[in-house]
Amino acid sequence: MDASQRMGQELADLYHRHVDTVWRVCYSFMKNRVDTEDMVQEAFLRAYYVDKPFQSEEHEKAWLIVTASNLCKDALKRAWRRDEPLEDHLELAAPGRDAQVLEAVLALPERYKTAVYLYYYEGYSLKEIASMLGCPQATVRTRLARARKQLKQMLGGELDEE
Amino acid sequence: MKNREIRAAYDRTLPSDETKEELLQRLLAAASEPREERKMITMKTIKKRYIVLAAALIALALSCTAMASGVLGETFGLWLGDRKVALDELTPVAFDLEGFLAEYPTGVADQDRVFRDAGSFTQATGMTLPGAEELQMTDILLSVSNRWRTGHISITVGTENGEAIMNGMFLLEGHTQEMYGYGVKARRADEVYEYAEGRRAYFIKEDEVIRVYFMESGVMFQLTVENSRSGKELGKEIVDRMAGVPKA
Repeated sequence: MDASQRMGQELADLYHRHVDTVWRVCYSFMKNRVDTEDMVQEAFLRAYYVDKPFQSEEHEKAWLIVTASNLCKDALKRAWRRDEPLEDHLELAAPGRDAQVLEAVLALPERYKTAVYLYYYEGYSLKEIASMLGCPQATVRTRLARARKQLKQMLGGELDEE
Repeated sequence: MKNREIRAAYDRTLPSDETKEELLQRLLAAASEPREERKMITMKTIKKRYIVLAAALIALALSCTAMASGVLGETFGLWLGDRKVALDELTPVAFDLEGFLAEYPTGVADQDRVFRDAGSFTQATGMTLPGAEELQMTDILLSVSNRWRTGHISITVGTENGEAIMNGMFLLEGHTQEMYGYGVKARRADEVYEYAEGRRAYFIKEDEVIRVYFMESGVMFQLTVENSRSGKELGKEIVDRMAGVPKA
């Protein structure tokens, strides 16, 4: 195996380890498949070219989540990228509680989304999230409380806990 | 604390294994290109771009229609709520439409065909961007409509103090639209910044960003900066330099 094949294999391994995670994060911001694919690709390329080696698989994952979130926020600042193909919504908007929760999650303000994903999907602690996002724990707590309030309003009640 | 319902909602967005494999192949192809020349290999097709731009124009026209209904006589400009604010009038800019369309038949320069700097933009369009000599302007996206005789640009603009995204819209000779401009939900600006010769830029706070609306050289700009003190200062600096105000 030559150097380029080895690097390709490393990138493919990295992709397989984290593609679902990065996809979920990007979709929550971009809300459509086409833009999500662009952001996922860019996030993995950034990880592939990053100079600093990752300390662990968990570190790699955390780095990808934060990088993907930032890439999406930047992309959304370009107004003409805000397109939401109808077919995506038709596919995802089948009746049911899942669809309602998804709609509510996608409707959250951008500033809450990363914290909500890290806390409710990945199960990170407030302290871990604060460290990843580079902000005080109190800020994370406030964002989660406000997001929870908005979700409750949209869904007409509390979410089922695990 | 993990939540079952939220996890199920996120998982609902995941693509098929086939889609993931296709994405991996594109990723590997992009990674194999030399780093300096690496470009996004994107799913967006020309057809898709047309749909997006058409949708954006329709959305813009609808929002403007809604905001301009009623007493507004002048329909070009910036609206705060149902009130149109005083900005310079949008007037057609100098633009080599024929030359641009010969090189970009779709009227769109984005994705892997962005203009890398203001010089190449001017060379291709004959249009001079205000502030091009004072500011770093990179990754310039452009779309023009031959039918409506309008244009949209998106620019990454930078100073020594930071970088921001700036969108803009303008008219070409022979424009046919009856109304054109940015509409803002907020009824009041959070700050009105007066700069060169009493000109005004409107600062409007959103979630994480501040949008700054102003006119220069016939283009209506929407500048996006961080919602922070330093972001606001950067916004004022860019507005000043766009207007040719000497650096403080």
